[in-house]
Amino acid sequence: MLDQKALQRLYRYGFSLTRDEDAAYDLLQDALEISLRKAPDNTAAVMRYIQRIMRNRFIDQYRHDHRHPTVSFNDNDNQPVNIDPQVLEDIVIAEHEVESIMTMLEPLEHELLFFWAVEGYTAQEIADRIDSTRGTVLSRIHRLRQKILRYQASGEVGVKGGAE
Amino acid sequence: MGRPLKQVIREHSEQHALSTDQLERLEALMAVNKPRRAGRYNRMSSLISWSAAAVIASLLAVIVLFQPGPFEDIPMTERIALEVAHNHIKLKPLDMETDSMDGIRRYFTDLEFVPAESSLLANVDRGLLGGRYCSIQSVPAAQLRITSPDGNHLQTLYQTEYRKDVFGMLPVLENGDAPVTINVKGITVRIWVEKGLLFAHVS
Repeated sequence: MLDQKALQRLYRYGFSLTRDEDAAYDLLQDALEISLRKAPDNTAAVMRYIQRIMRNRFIDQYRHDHRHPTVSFNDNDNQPVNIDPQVLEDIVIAEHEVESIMTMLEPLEHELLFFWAVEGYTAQEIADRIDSTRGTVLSRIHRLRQKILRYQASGEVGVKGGAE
Repeated sequence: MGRPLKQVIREHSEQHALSTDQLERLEALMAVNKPRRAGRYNRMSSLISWSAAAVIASLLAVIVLFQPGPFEDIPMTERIALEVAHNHIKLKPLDMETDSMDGIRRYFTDLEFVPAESSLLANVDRGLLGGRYCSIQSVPAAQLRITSPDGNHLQTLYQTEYRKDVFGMLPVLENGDAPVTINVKGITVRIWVEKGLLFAHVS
């Protein structure tokens, strides 16, 4: 049985996808109901199993709600890259700007930020959790950085890049 | 003043947390549906495990059922009605699509009961669209989506095993009782017990 800390982690993961507290709770409850029937034995495996269910159900729901989605969930742009995994580490933002940044990001970019910032996963660990490759994750991190910096340059938020 | 993105994102995430009530509901869900294991433990450890599980489940049930909170003094039928109406309105995607009860029974094999037709809803097959797993008061349930006889509305039929320890006394069709009808959130919910199953019909 998962403890309260694990439930909170899963809830926050759900929130990173949905950006809505009620929807995050529903997503977690749905995933728990499913996982209780076939869950693995150890806690770490259960966490990953439930996260996977939450992700799949979120994508199903997103496709259901957006009949013509502009977001691609097929992450096959596996570019060969020499991207520094620390590429996001030097970005600096003001605390009050976080909401506007989150608003302009897509669901899977929220997920990427959650895994990187909150869970502290490496690119390889993120790749394992989203059935992707390290190269693809690094590409996405790179694009995410570019997106945030472009947003900064547009003057819509006061984001600035740190030392290059 | 600027701060590292990672730190700000982490703190932003930590602002969102499950409430005490939500945590208790999820813990009750896990306690009620604790996976059963077989053949891997000796008799004594199994007995201890089950005893511990029973104590935890009882404590959680006491906490959930008797603590003052948003559901204090709300009758069980109304709690069920609120829960199924909430789910009905959300209209979440179906886990599977089928137009027959046989298809439903073939899919819902992980439940502790076999989905059945109700005599109150003749010809459910006619408008059946499919189903998804869900729960009612933390007990695993099947949620069937059907179109109304006039074809203009979606209805939802929930069914789960009737557990008196969780649901208390409810009208039993075989005893000549009539279903309880409750109007919540602008929709009508009927609740009854039949064939040993609890049915909740949202229309």
